[in-house]
Amino acid sequence: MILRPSAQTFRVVGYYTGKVVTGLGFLAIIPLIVGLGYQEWDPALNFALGALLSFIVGVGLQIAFYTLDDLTWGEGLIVTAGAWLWATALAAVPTFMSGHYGLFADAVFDVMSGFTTTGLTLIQDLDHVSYAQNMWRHILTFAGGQGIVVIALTFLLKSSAGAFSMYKGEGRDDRILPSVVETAKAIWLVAGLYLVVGTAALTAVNLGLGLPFEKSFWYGMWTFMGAWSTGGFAPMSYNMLYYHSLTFEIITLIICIAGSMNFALHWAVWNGKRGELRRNIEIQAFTATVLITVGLAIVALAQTGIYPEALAMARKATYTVVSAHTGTGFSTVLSQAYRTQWGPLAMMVVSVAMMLGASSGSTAGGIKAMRVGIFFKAVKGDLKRILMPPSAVIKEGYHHIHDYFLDDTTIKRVFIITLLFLFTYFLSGFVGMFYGYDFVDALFDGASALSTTGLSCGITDPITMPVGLKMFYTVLMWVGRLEFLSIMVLAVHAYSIVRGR
Amino acid sequence: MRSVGKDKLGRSSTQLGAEALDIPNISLREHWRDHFVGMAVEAAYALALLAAGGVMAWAVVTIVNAGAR
Repeated sequence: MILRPSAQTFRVVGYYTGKVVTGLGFLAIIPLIVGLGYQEWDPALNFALGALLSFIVGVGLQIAFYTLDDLTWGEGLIVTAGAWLWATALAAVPTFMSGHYGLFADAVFDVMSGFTTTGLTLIQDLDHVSYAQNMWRHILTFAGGQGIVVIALTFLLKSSAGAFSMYKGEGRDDRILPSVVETAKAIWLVAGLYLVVGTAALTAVNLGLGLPFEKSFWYGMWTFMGAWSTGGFAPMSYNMLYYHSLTFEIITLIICIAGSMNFALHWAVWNGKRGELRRNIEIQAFTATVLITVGLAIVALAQTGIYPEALAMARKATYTVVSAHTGTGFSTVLSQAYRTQWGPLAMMVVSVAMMLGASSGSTAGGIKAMRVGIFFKAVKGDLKRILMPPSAVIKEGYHHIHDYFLDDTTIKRVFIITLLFLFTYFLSGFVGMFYGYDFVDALFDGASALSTTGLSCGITDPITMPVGLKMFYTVLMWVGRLEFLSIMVLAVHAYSIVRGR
Repeated sequence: MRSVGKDKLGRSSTQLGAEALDIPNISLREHWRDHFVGMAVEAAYALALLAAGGVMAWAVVTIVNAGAR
């Protein structure tokens, strides 16, 4: 039996959703300022209206559902799943008003892609987008990477058990400081310091490439935002191919790898526990799977013979696979070239890299290194049980900031989420086939959406992509970012409103 | 954190709080130095990963070219 939500549940959920939506209004002020600074009056007006709309809805919800009660665990998850939808719908309004989208569904797709740090885009004429609009796209992806609940926690919410459940619902599992609000602020500290250093490095490279200072700075900062949040948005339609620079590619990959690390790991390494980087199960699993997938991609590309020189092959294969594995989606290969030059084997390798993903508690999506590591530990433990005498006590353990024993409950949870991911990956392939695409191509873009990566082999296109598939991918990105749990709780509650008691 | 007193061992409440949280009781300068060294360690790890990709590509291309000859 599923209990129908009480009036108090609606009140609490409405109130906290209002808080998160109000936070979105503050975000829209940043592109508004950029627009005013560059005298881009139309985009500035769009963001003024967008901010006003978020404030009206957010403050309205807070007044209408005012309460002093804290959220229960389930209510926190509902707020998170619901707030991502509210925020996406509201942020899509100024996005659509830019005139760069054919349909409102396209704007919703792009905002969801930004918030979930995917990077797939349906924007038209990207090379002539206003500074304000570009700022908005990258702010969405940078803020979405840290988490829209984290934004609300930083500025608008008090620390409480309910706040922690919202935070958990966003796919984060690390509370490294006693208060979840303090943890949210520490997340911004790490991101902020990387922002300064990363933007400075990329700006310097851009200046060296001959771009004027202003463009060098903006492109450097936006590229950093796309890389750190493992988002993949870029200011130019050629993505990273626009720069044609090995130095630029190396710096962006370093930022992508750093952005895909678990925040708790950052905090440990940044506070003197540097050996953590070697011992951590996520880094061990990530290193192993990156090396295997890069190696496989190189073998697959060697078979095609399109990159006869080692440096050219290393650049293309390493960049694409690491970008895919970290869930970033930056590309130095044109979308169509995956189909016409890389071929099905290399595409499948990249798809697998996307599916695996990087660390939990980061902005990366996919199955994630923690689950991959625990999976292999569980297999190793079972093999030992078979090979050792029956009286032997086998206890597998792993290290993630602290030492843990591997228990059956942890293994069960890992298998459930991994199977849900695998099932949904294949579903995305079949849905793509329903719309007339080849399975390998459909799996590539479907895996990209679900693992919030952003690489595309050309299916994701504003003109040729069917509207139904655009909406399906929008849902995939939402599901992939929140990792099923929050969304299943929301779905169960929605069902209970209709059928429950 | 603000220190408001000391225990029998002469440890301030600031220090005790830091120990309870497993945070080293260090100066602000050391704190920021740790942050930047941590950042450099992470970048070194990322570079090593990318270099491994380069080595693998070199090995594969060498083998393929040798086979072609």
